[in-house]
Amino acid sequence: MNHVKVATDFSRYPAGRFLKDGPFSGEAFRNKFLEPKLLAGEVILVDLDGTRGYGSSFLEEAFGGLVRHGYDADRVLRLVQLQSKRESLQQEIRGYIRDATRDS
Amino acid sequence: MATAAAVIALLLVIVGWFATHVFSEMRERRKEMRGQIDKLIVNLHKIEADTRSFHSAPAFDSVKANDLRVSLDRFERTASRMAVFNQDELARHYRLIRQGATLQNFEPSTFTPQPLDAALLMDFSDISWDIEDAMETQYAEQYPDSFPYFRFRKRTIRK
Repeated sequence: MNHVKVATDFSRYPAGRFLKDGPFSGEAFRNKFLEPKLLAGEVILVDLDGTRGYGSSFLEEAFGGLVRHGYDADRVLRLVQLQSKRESLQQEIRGYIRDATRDS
Repeated sequence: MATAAAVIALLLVIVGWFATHVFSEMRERRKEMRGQIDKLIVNLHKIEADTRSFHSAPAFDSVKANDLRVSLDRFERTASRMAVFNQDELARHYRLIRQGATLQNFEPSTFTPQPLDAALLMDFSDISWDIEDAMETQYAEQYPDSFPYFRFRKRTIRK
């Protein structure tokens, strides 16, 4: 299984929604780690612990953005597995994936 | 007969000592927990003020944004270590408070100064009140104001 630890593989300070908001934005994380694995149909385990906090806009864009970009929510929930000591983070991300609607 | 009386007296002493020990221990725990919750609530009020300050500033401030993100993380981390709280119940509140402060208007590309009566800030104030109430309710459930002033219950502490 593919494994990505946000704090060490991406940034301890993930921030921002779009690429124009900074190099460690949700869009950058999605492009670099999530979409390639989803495209290949591979499971990816995302370890969320160890960062200095998350902005919700980062989480929404990184994970909810997958659905807006055409990936089926059930497929995303199946292939993107979350690991964190914080139940609130997992709840939040699953909510974004379920609530996002595909861009037409 | 004298031996039986001595045994009863000894048992009473042991029971009395045990009861005193338990109540004293619980009183200390209650005071300690009250102090920790008070500090947490002070932090919560500071987060509320910082959120208001960030969103109503004339321009996006990346330092304030980072401080706010770290404060929210620290708040959740601290509260998660407190045995008095049922973390399954509070998880929803942690999520709401993070979303309230950082889901909208939190990027340089989309930032717009918010008036102090903006829905975003009013909603955040409500969220802040709700988590404070939830914490106080859980504290009151574990340490009620009436005898015996505490309840035993199993708690899961997340580190």
